[in-house]
Amino acid sequence: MSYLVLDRVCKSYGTAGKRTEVLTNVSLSVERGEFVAIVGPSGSGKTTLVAMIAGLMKPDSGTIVIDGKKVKGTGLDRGVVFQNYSLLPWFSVFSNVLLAVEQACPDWPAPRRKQHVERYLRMVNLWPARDKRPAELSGGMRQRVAVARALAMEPNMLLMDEPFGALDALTRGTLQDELIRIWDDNRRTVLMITNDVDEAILLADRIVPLSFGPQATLGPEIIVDMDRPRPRQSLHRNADVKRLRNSVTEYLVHSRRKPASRSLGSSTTPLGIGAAP
Amino acid sequence: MFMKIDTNYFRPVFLPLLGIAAVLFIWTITSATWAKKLPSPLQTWEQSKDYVMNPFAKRGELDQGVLRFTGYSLLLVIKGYVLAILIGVPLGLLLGTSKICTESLDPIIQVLRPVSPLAWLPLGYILFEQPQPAAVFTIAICSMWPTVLNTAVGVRAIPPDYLNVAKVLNLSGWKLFTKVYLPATLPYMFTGFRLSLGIAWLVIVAAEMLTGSPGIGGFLWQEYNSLVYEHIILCIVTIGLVGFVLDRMMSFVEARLRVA
Repeated sequence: MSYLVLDRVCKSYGTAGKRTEVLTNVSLSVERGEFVAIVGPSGSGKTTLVAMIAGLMKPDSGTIVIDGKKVKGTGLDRGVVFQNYSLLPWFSVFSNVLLAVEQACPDWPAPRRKQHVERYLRMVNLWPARDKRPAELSGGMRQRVAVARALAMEPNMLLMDEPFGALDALTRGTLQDELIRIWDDNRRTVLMITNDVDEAILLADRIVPLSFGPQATLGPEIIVDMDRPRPRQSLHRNADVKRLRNSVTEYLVHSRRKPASRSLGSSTTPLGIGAAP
Repeated sequence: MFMKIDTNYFRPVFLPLLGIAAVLFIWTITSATWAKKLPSPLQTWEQSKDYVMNPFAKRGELDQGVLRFTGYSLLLVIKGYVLAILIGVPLGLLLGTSKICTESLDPIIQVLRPVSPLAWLPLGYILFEQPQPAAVFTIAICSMWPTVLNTAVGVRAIPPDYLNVAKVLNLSGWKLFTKVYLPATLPYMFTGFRLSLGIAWLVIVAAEMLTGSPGIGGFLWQEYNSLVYEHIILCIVTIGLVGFVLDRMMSFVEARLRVA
């Protein structure tokens, strides 16, 4: 059975009369150890989707099942990397990560926890900045702390909501490389949300497009059948990459032209554009 | 050379001095013309010199240095103020976290908040039958409202991001309070603490006047009764300066917390 299963998840905002359905019939399965990227335009409900899987929000209908258990709230089995980093500004880098480790491993003695924090801060190359406050760090460094915090909990699944969205292209590239190196070491399940098709192609095993909202839903999955490591430099010349990029982009553009009316179709039904021509 | 005055120091030093000079001038004119009973600045200084130059002297129960009197007042203020914070912070946290508490308690807070210290003091007497506890009670009940309201605002203003982090980390109970709620609310609380201290200092004078406790307010009232009007002005200036210093101290701490 798949590690994560979403079955016809719907979510609306607003009060009766002025309700907008943000997500409609979102269904998805993610296998253990798989890296899945959900690609969607801004405003399509990506953050809502992550919040529901993280347990911060309840779906109006449909179910979310993780490891055979229905999600009822937040849990330490899921490490979340938020879009805006969400570090606690009154703690140092070290304390931010330590707090997560204390929660995830309450039985460990203090020295072991500290060692563990050190290991993950070194992994994201932030050990020299351990005593700094988040406000003293650049965006890229903050995001690395957020990644280290999520990883240090050693969760079964990593949930990432546009983790590199606010960063410049260079920093983004470095962090993508770091992320994939870390992921390659222990192969945790990763669900990443992004609006960058190339990022998804570079990192993921499988890409699932999310249509334009409101009433956004998932489109047909696209499998990224490329060996790793995937050299960033040659990616833009690769014919497979072009084809993948085109299918994702075409689906997204298509979903915009035909809004709302197709909402009744279940996402399990492919919506016109196949994964491969 | 003469024209080259460093404007960096010129304005913050010279302009306030100009303001003080203007007030002293108006005061002198007033005391010389229509208000013959008002002592002039010079008379005030002559009469007050002893109290200012030997601020901690104790010549008798009713005749002590100005800072000694201030000390008595501050001691009483601190008792009432600490009580106000001990009650105000938990009440504020309760109001900030629970909508039901806000809706049920907010009207009564809004009604009690503007009640004058002079109105609470007799009630304090009835409850505690002693001047000191009555004064502490009055200070506490008058000064706690800014702490209550600011703490509540601070809790409501915690960015949802931090609360989401707390949730995904499964923080709860004491840890949630000390690691997220308290640090996030502290700058707001301190604004409340600063305003509360200002009120506590306002109340002490009224409380001492009515209870006759020794202190700067009690001294003021006693000197009015003994017709030493110079000392009334001395007391007013002292009360103002002490209040100013207290406010600066709290602002300093508050500003440091905001940066953090």
